[in-house]
Amino acid sequence: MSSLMQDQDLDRLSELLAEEAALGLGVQELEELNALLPDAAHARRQMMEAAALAQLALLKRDSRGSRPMPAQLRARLAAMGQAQVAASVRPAPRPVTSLAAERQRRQDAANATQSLGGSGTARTWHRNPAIGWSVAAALALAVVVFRVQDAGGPPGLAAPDDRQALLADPATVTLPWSPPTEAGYEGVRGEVVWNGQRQAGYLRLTGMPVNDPASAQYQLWIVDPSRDRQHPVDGGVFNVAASGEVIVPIDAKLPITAPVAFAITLEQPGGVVVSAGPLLVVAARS
Amino acid sequence: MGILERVAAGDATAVNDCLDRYGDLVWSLARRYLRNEADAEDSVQDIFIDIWASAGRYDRNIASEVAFISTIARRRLIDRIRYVERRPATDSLDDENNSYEPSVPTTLEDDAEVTKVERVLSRMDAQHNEILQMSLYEGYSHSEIAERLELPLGTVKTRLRRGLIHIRQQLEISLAGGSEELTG
Repeated sequence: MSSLMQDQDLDRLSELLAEEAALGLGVQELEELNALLPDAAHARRQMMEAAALAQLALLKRDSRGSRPMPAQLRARLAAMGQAQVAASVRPAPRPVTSLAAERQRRQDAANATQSLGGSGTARTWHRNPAIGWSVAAALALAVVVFRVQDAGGPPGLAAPDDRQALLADPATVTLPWSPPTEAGYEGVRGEVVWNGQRQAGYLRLTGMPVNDPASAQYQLWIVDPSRDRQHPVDGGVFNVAASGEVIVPIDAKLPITAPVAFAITLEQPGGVVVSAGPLLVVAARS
Repeated sequence: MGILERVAAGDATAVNDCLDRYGDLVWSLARRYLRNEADAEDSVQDIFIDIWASAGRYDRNIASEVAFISTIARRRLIDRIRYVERRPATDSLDDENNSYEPSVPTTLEDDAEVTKVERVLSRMDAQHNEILQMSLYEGYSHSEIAERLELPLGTVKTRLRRGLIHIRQQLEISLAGGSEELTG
């Protein structure tokens, strides 16, 4: 923390940190926090941990606070967890290609997804309206031309060891996908993993519908207000060739400083420079 | 090797151990914070998926397992309550079968950090305690707390901030053995 920080900035910083630990921050507040303290990760983690431990202490002194987890929820979590943990270390098999993908082998070369045989979920989800609005606004207002991904394929992180190393890095952030509401995408789960220092990351998706690359490809967008609040950065196009879990390395076309949201759209083959949406799946900082 | 380290190493059997040790704890936090059972189920699912995905980042030299897990849980619970944007209802815990014996979660009984925070809270004045409980444990917004306690919104924010900072500071200096009371 800078010793030159003014008292009012320190007050505001502590207020924002406490606010985040109590109720979370919106995009604008998060921007303000990052402006006050660019390297705020440690302070944020400390405050959140203090709030979490206080929550535990309050639970401990609540004589009626402890409740047994419902058996069916526990069984579902056990099944999901075992599949997730097993998939995280299983050697990645070659991608399973569909007939449509066979017809589009050149575009499939850009497909960095790998079938890992995971399972999706049948739960009904709803998108966070606030998250949807902020990212949708950024996408709708985008007027800058982005370079779309060519057929060369996105970089690295195909190997589980590489992903484990990325996850082990303290600078890495993990954002789960918000519950989707788009028809056909309700069962999509997973998360975005991003490391700003390495400028590398990947998407993990389960339950993502298979696309026909001949007619449409998925495209990732990254909202980075520190770069340009209105214009999301193209994160590359990709295909989903088989059901189950897919891993998609992020191929950001520009340096990403402070991402606040990641969103996936379905676009024409090769991607677009300006997306009209809809946003199929979104992950955002709270 | 701890449970999270086993999860990170790909030991699928550690999943059941993780649920055995922390399942009821996370569920209890979610039910108190969110009240609605369906919201709690969705949130707890998100929490455990995040725990398993993040287990590789766990470092026992930095935090205990329960601190690591509860921090993930807190982030996801905040995500959920911001999503549902709904006031916690005081009577909505009755949609769950209450035929259980009230007890202290065994996971918390011997945790040094939780015990430390418990002591900090016990030395804190009633006003700070009440606001921290309503905000951190019961999920009330600042304005709801201000309304219920008939306090200015700024006072609620200030006391919450002071309380959290005090807890954080006490955790940091706990090895030094010093502490101060927080009042006013």
